[in-house]
Amino acid sequence: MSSVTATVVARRRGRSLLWREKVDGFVMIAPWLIGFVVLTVGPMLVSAGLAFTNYDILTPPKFTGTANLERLFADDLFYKSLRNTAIYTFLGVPLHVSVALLAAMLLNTKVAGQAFYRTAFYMPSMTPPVANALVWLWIYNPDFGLANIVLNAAHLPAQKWLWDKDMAIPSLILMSLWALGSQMITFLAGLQNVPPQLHEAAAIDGATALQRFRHITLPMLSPIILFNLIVALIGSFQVFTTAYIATNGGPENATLFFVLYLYRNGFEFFKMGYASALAWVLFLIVLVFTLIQFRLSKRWVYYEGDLKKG
Amino acid sequence: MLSRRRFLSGLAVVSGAALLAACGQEAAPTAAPAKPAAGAEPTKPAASGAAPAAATSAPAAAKPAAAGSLIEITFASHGEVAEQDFYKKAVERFNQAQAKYHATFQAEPTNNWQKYLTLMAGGTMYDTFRNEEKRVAEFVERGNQLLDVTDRAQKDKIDKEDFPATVWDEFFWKGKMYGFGHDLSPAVIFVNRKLWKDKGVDLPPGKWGDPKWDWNAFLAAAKKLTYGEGAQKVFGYIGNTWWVYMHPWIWSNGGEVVDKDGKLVFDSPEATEAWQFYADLSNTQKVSPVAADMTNGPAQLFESQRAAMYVNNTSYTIRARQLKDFDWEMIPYPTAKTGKVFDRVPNNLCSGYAKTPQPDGAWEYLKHMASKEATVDARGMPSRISVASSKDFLTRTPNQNWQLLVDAGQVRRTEPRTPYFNQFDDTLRAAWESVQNGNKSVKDMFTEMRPKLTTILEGKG
Amino acid sequence: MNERTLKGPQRWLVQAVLTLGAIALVTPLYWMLATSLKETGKEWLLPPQWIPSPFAFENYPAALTSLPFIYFFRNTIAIVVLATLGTLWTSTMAGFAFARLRFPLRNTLFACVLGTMMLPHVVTLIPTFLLFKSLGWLNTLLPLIVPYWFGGTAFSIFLSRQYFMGVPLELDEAARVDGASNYRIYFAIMLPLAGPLLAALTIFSVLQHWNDFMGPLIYVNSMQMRTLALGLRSFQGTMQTNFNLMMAAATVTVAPVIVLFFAAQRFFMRGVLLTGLAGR
Repeated sequence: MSSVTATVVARRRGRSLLWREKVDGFVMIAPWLIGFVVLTVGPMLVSAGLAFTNYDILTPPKFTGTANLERLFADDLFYKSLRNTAIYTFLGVPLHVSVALLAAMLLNTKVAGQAFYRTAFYMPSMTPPVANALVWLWIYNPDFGLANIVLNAAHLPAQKWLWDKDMAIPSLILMSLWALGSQMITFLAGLQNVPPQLHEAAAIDGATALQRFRHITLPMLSPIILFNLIVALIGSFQVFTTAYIATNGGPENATLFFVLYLYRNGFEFFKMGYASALAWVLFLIVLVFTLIQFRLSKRWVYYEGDLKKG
Repeated sequence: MLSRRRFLSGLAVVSGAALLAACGQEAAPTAAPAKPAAGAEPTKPAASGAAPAAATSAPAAAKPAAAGSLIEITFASHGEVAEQDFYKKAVERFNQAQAKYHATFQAEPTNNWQKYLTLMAGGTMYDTFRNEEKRVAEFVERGNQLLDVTDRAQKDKIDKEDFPATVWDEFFWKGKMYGFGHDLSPAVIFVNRKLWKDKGVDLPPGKWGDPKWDWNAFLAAAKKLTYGEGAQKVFGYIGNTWWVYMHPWIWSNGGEVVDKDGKLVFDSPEATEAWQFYADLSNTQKVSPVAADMTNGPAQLFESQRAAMYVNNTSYTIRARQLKDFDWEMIPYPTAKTGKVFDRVPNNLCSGYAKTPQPDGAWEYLKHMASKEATVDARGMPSRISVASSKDFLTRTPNQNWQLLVDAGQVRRTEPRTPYFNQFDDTLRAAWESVQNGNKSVKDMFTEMRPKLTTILEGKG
Repeated sequence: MNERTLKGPQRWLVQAVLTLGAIALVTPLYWMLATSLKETGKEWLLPPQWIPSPFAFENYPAALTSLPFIYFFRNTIAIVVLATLGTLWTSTMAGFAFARLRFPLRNTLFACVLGTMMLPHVVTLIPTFLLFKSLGWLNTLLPLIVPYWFGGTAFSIFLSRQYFMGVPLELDEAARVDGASNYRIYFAIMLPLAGPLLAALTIFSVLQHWNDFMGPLIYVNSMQMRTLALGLRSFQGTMQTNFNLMMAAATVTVAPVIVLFFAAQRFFMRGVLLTGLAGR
């Protein structure tokens, strides 16, 4: 084959190859795309529409205009559940991320039994939340539970934990900290990718451990920290299972979190319209916070040029 | 390549099986006779805990039906494990008593009402299920989900005289009959006789409306029976924290929560007195525990001998009878200063699903559940007057006053029946618990709840 | 490995803290196991009984037969297996396409994938419920499986893309020159190389579906169709006073996950490390 023919063939092939690629690309993402339209975009639009109706799924929907929105703004349980979720999130997430980071740093040292520690720290984050909630119900039992036994041994006053409306959310946060394993491992991976040369160079220059942490470790880890923060934030806004099993919103609505309240309205009172309105409110709130986080992240997240993909 | 192919084919087999499982909407009765391997569960050893837990909750497996010729009817009920035995026996008797249908029992967790509604929404509800009189309205108003048996009952000439009048009326909503009752669960105060004896307090007479057993006498007894501290404290009285149990107190004092016209009157002076008296029991008099004292539930406190009085409905007698070395008895609610006392007596009826493919079968089952034969060993008290006044019932156990339950029928009143009970209940429940735990005053509860409950009752909640 | 070496007292301190932490974290799980083997009435002793005596092994059959656990197992495994298969296939395929193929709107669509990752699922909850209701899929396992055959989860697509972007381009080029179609490249080259990715996705998917509670809670109603998580919850509803049996049921729900962890520990760690790397 002469080189000219080869080029012509190649170019023709090239054009059809390009076309092929486009088609194949769409075919391969087709399942996702279909799912995206049918299970994400569509429902979002429907849910926005439902928010203007009264619908109990057993009888046809009735259009009610902005009644649900008015109800929402006058509903004290709406504010309460939002407040509870906010406390849980803004107390819990930073705590969770910091403790996970601390644990990862501890694990990143040469100590005996590393594999054992890693296993022990990771296991609780894998177990089903239902089972966890049941065990912690025992731990937090004011009369017989481990928590008060520990407190008594330390001569500290016993608490009512989940049955005290001020201690309930902190108790749940503590319970969530128990499952710090997955975030910890993520940090561990990140830590192990910090080039040791940086540390060595800094040490030679006389930097203390703290300085090295602030100026080397943290910046190198910052993308992971951002990732974990966002994931934790979104997850924390949607806390449901633990509250449903352990306290069912009690005591006296102290742990009535937003998604729990939404679930109740939708699936216990069968007020699908109102629940849809609630869902959109949550969506907008999460959107705003995520955007804020991204904006702020430009200041403190450090992407090493070749590590940032796509 | 070979191992990969093998692996893939193995995976295909597993997936195929899983897919079958996924798509199969398992209607237990039809599945059970055909899949004895899955349905037959190992009968557990007898000795295990206080409650003789049911051997298996797929009873169809134990009784392989002559499959193919019988029509399947499903019956679902919630309830503690001990209560389920009654329903299982009823189902077995039904299967033995006739040859056209085969019924199976489906155990459901307590408070499954929303799940029932969801099943109805999806069109897959059980053929029949245990219902309560206060929930009938909601099922009917939300798209007519219950089977209307008015005509069938008339055709079969059901003997309505064997049922107390108020009980019979509650089978109806807006003129149509939607259920048929098998037992009643009058609320009574269970007492731990030993604790009373130890403190030298006499039990009140076992009759409703005795003038000497009034609210003051009740409080005095409760105070005498309260002693100890911390984890060993014994409480004179554990009330049921659910607000519906306030009805006897409110009614006795001349008040009402929701009146006959559906209007909210829970803050009338008479009712307020009752609410306040009750709230004081845990807040000021300290004869009652708060929620934090009963983290395992009030029953557990009573059963560990830490309560002299405990309010519950009579389905609790099933559990009480299983307790070893426990000397218990039932006493009436105290009489109010009006000289009257009333009791709440939930009416447990069996209802059919409106869209059941077997309406005749469902009706047959309803009739059976309410028959004399089936209700002989009812959980609480049989609905039928003839059965309740029979010797078998009254002498069920030697040491307990079963006549009290029969007499409760005389002082029975009907609770509010609204199509919005679910939400009403949920809303008021949290507020009342708050008051009992000392975190809210009765007055605040009224101010908070009045607008909300009114909107709910009007259907705009 | 980039680990710090500490000297003397610092090292002991870290060791002590880690040990305390490990004990604290494992104790609840140990307690679950221990209580599950206690006789009724001994669960609430003060001081607590750390080692049950006698060992009440009969708690397990008792707990597992009081509710139809065999159905719970069957349903959970069905969901886990099928949903994971769906995720593995569709998300790796999409991830490959996003990573390697050029097609219009690619970046926009991938941004949509990322957006979905941040979407609170409650927004789509009710309409999807209504959709499945109209399809007649309520009270089946289908709503918990079928969506995962349409792209798995956004996170798995994201992870797949990250992974495939790390595969050297030369492999693709060589295959293309040989006339391989894109599908061929995907099946015959990318997938075999994607061992760690598949392992990671499998593990995440298994964990997600094994532990899922809200999904089954909403879609599954009758006893026979419940999953382990729901079954455990039903246990809480009916056997509240039999805490030892409840713990036995909980242990049964937890044990397979832990066994999986120990069996696949290497893959586990590698998989999560992959997230760590991809999470940047």
